[in-house]
Amino acid sequence: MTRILTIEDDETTAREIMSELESHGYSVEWVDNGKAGLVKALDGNYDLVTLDRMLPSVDGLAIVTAMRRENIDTPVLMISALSDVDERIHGLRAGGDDYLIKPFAPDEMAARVEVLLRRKSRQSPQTVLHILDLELDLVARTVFRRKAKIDLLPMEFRLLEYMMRNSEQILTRTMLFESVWGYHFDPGTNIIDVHIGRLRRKVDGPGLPPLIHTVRGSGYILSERC
Amino acid sequence: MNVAKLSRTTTFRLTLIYSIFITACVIMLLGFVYWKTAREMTRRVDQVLELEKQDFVMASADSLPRRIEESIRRDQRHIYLYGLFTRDGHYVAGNIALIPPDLPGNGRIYQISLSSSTSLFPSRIARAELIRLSSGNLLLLGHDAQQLSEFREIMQGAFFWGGSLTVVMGLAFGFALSFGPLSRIEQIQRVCELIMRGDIKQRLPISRRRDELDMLTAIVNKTLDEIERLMSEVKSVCDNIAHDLRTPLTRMRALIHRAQQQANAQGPIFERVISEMDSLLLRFRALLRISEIENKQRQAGFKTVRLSDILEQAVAFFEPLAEDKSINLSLSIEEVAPIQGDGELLFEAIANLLDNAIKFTPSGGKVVARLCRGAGGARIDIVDTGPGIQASERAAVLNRFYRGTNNPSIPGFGLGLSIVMAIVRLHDFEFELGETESRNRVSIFCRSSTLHRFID
Repeated sequence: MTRILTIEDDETTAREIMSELESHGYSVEWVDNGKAGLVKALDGNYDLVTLDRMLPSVDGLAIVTAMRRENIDTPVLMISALSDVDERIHGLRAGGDDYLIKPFAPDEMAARVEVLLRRKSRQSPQTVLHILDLELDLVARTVFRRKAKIDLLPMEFRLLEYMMRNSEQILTRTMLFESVWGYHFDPGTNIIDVHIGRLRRKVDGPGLPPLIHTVRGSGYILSERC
Repeated sequence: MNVAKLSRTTTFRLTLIYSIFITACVIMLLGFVYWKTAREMTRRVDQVLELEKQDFVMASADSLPRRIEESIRRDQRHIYLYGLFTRDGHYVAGNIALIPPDLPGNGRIYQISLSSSTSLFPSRIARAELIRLSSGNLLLLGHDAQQLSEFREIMQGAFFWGGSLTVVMGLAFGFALSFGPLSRIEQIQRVCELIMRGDIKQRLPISRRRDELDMLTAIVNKTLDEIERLMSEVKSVCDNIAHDLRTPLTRMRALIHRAQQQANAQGPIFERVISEMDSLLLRFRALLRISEIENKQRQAGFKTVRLSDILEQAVAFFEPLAEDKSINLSLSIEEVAPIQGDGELLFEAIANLLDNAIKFTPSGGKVVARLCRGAGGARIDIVDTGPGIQASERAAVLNRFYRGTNNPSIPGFGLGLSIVMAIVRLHDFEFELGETESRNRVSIFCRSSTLHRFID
């Protein structure tokens, strides 16, 4: 069973994280202070750590730095009220794998956890991605669906690549914007939906089983299940 | 520090006025000394001539040529002039051959200039008188006045050099005196520029002199302390409200979402509640975003960015949205030099402007994103064929939550332009709402507005 360590000093937030992750079938252990969190994280016996950035005694940055120094490569999702880009950069440079800003929607947090877990379990780097009859060649930069070539713009290619790498997982609009376009603000418009709509028209042509699905209230999922 | 700037200082002007006054006083003093001395010298010469006159007038007409010769012989220094002429002006005796034409024969003493042709001496200035004797002959008596003339020349030189030196010294002293205060003013100006850019923590420098400038800067610093305190109070109240409301709202949204999933409900009520909450959350996020940008460590994270790349990315990002609305979105780029800035924030600003332009332009319209070389730096224009912002509303739309009256049906909450303004201010750029060829135009002037104002 996947084990997740949650280091979070605010009990309400911790309970939210635990309840959301447990509902996804993960076993979650909660520690409410930096010192105990550091000891447990250094055990390295977890599949993922959700780590509050600001903690009493030992702060989140120190914990993730210590973990990386000890060569513990457990994925770390940093959760912080500090939304500044510089803070995000500090967190990621120290060794965090992703950065989520408080307050967050629990499903967004769960989606990010799943992406990180999936990334960890991926073994060798792939050059061709397959989902059902959809094939994306990372070297030749080509996409085929049922052997028919699909012409994609560079940004559409990157969007599809990210969705295929994280197939069967819910991807929120924020995650897509951050990962595909590399920006960390809220575009505040339905622009991501429009990009997905355009990609969907190209990938899920008439008569083909749809692969890109909308998850109401959350985001999108690329899945071979209807 | 240039000379023109120095010459505009109060210290320099006061020193200049003072030095002009001192120069005038020196010239007046020298003039008075000259006038008194020249008068005394003239009086003495005239007195000597008067005594000579009495001697010669008393002498008989026959003995006069001989007495003249004797006097000339006695005059070793050749400072006396003698001339005896017949009544019709013919030379009889003396060291003057001709009566100078400018000397009237009325027995009064005049200053004359003699040429070497009329006398046995080199050209010179003299005091002289022409006396008509009882015999009818004319007697010219004179005394060299070259000393007087030389004295005048010396005094003129003294006027010129003394006056010039005082003026030059005054100017130099004025510049030297102005240099100190002006360099302090320039320090203050540099700090003020930082404060104007939003670094309210800066304070004006105070010297150890405790002079009037220090008194003034101390007052300004106290005012800045108070402004900073009030700003931080107001800001923290706003931020806290936004932040504190955001957390329970996010939780409520999550609960409703979960309830919807658990009930497996597809009804429109759940959708509407979630959509309303999302819209509310977006507002709070935008408000906090403005505050976050304003709080950003001033320009510390700036890097060299290429505006053309940012604009290209932004246009590519919005292209599908424009296409969906049948709007022709085009890009026009002039090569401009890279600038120092925050690429992500500039993208956010351009994205906000493009989003607005596409949102408000009716189907079939045009939106152009343009990068051009302007005066003093690059300029980003977003031009559209939408209804635009009325001239009377242009200042107001930059305020938070203000929405233009042209399109009340289009969703939004009036914070986009506030975010753009915060980004523009952080970069010290300028923002303008206007028109180009009867199309709406919003422009970001990517040049230092402080520097530009200063040059203006």
